[in-house]
Amino acid sequence: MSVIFYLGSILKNIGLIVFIGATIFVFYLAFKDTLKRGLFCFIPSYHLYYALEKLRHPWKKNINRVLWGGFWGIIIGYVFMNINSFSGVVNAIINGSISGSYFALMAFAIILIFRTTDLVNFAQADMASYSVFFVLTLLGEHFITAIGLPEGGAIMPIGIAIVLALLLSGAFGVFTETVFIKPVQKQHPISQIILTLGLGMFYTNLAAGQLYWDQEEHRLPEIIGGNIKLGESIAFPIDGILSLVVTVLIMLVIFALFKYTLLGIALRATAQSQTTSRLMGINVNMVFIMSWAISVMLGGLAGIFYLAGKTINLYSTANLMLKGFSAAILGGFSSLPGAVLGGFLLGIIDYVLGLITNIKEILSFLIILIVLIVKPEGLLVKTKTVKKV
Amino acid sequence: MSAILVWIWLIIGVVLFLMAFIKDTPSTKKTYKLLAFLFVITLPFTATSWLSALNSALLYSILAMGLNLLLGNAGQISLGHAAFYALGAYATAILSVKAGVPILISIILGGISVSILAFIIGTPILRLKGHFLGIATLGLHIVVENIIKNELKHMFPGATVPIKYTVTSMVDSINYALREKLAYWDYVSLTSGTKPFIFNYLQDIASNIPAIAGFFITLLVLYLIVLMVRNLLKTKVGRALGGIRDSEVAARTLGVNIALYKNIAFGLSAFIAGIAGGIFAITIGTVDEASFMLTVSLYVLAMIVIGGVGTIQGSIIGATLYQLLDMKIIKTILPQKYQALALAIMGIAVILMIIFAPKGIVYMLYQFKLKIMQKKSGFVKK
Repeated sequence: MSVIFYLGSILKNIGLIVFIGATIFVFYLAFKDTLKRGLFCFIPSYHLYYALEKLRHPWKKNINRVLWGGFWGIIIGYVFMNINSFSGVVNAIINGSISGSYFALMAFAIILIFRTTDLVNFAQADMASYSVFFVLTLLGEHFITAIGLPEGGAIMPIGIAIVLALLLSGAFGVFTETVFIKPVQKQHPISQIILTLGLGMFYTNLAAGQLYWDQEEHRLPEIIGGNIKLGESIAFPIDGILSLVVTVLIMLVIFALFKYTLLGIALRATAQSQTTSRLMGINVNMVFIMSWAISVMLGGLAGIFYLAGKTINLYSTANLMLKGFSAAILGGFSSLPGAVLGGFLLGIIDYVLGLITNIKEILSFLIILIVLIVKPEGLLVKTKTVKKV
Repeated sequence: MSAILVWIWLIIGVVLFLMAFIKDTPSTKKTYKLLAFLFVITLPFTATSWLSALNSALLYSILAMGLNLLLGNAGQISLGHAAFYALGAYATAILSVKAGVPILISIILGGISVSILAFIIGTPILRLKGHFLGIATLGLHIVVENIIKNELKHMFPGATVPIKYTVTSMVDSINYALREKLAYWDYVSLTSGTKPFIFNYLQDIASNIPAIAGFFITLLVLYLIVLMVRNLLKTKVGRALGGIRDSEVAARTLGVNIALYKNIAFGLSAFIAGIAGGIFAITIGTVDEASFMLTVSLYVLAMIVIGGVGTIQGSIIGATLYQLLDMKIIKTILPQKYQALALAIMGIAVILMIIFAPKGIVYMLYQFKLKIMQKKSGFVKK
């Protein structure tokens, strides 16, 4: 353990020196350049601005690499210095990849819509909580007083309830797309953002006000339940393993679907160019509807796995959506495999850093900010040089 | 006043504002403007039961004006504007409680410090566009919320931050004198058996004096900010912002420093939000994190969209309509069973506005005015 500690501290210190040195060098570049631009450059944020511009410059690519190397050196060294036992790390990786599977599903749902229809669905959380409450309703906790479902007791086993709820939420997604999203398909992104936010407000408060889903505390039952224990300190829930397996299976199925079926090819074609797909005879409206249906189903599934066995209300899924955003941004917001990778990575980073620091809550948002500022293309996408004419 | 009289009074006020907007003859317009001004001045003394809703309407008008400067005039979105609102409130609280700075200076200092912070944060963030800017500002809000929860909150004992010198303490002497007078009349009436006919009314006023003072302070700040924004939009900065909103490429070719002007818009809108936070701190008297949830930014966005993007009147109309609907009108109109639907109604209103009238109520009013003018001049398109 002491060996690991010393190794970690050496790594951390080297990383720190490299990082600070590279930062100073970048700032030196910024100063050198901005001093020529007149007095206004003395505003400190402008040094930062030009420094960040520098980072994108192809000649300074190596500085970028050195900075990242220093950064990871600090992080990994810090982790090595602070872990107490090996099993803690294994535990964190298993549990991290379990929660990563929820984030991956959510990020996948967000990116699927963004790729095909060019808008980000900020109402994903509200729609996911509808799916969760569909499950609860099908399990016999009736909320809609007008319909008057039979009271108490499970009507059906939870597996069937989840499948039915997912089908219902697919229909819900189709409804949303046709009624609300289609009219703003051609509008400015800001209008679309505000529309989806308004949609979320409408759905959540409709449910809270009229369907009485928010009136009392509800508990979503566990899907299988129980924990698996390996040795003394490694433990993980069976539901989590189920979610991991199901996520991986779904991802495989969807990638096969995208690769080999006509619908998948149409989806990919629409993502590349709507106009050309229209010219090629693809029913783009159908593609939009299908992508919304699949996305809402996946988001709902993520919500169900995330909340299984927990006490829930209508706002429980909001955090999941935010994590989904940061996973999606980590993966570059344009590639579906990137979303999956980003989700798992985010889950593991969350857990590992949860062992050593207390900034776990805001970590994913710091990741959003840092990735968007430094490398907006994401992890998987290689930086392309834009031709300047 | 009884509830129905207040309703009639408010409807009269709305009609006055509409007339002041529609009438074109300078003298008539001036008269209606004066009447509308008098209506606003007398409002807190007449509609006392609406005071809390009116106060929050004014406060949210300030907030909406700040976000509208960024969204409508510069074309950049922010989903985390409540962060600056919260930081302004906390800055005021810390400066006045911990450092003992006079309250007025601490509000202004709070606004300035928030705007400097926004200027620095905006430098990297504002290079993003559209959806990504939305997500980044959302992340910014979560970070600030957690900082408040973990750091700023522990600077003060207890869950909330008590402000020493609030509006309530400013009007203490008036309040005391009025209460003394009322007590005296009450005592006299024991022997003579008669009270002055305005006794009940004065009692009503006496219990609302802090709210009335808050109304006037907020109104004054709102007026100053309206002046600031209106004059700013007429200068070089305003034209540069409009250029950036309409086409960044065109603005850049005309020599506008895009990054700088976007930053200026972000900083100014954060400044206004910070001032709103300071006003919140002195009118409410306590600062707690529950007042600055993420939903606040979403509601402010909804207000702007309903009122009118990119117009000063739009922010005020949207905020007023939203707050009055949420806090008063829905409760009166709808039966008990459906009252929780207020926010759902606002949500569907936002959706309908985006789909059918993306320019908001202000634009609809202008269309209405145009139609009336056409009818008057006999120039109607067949």
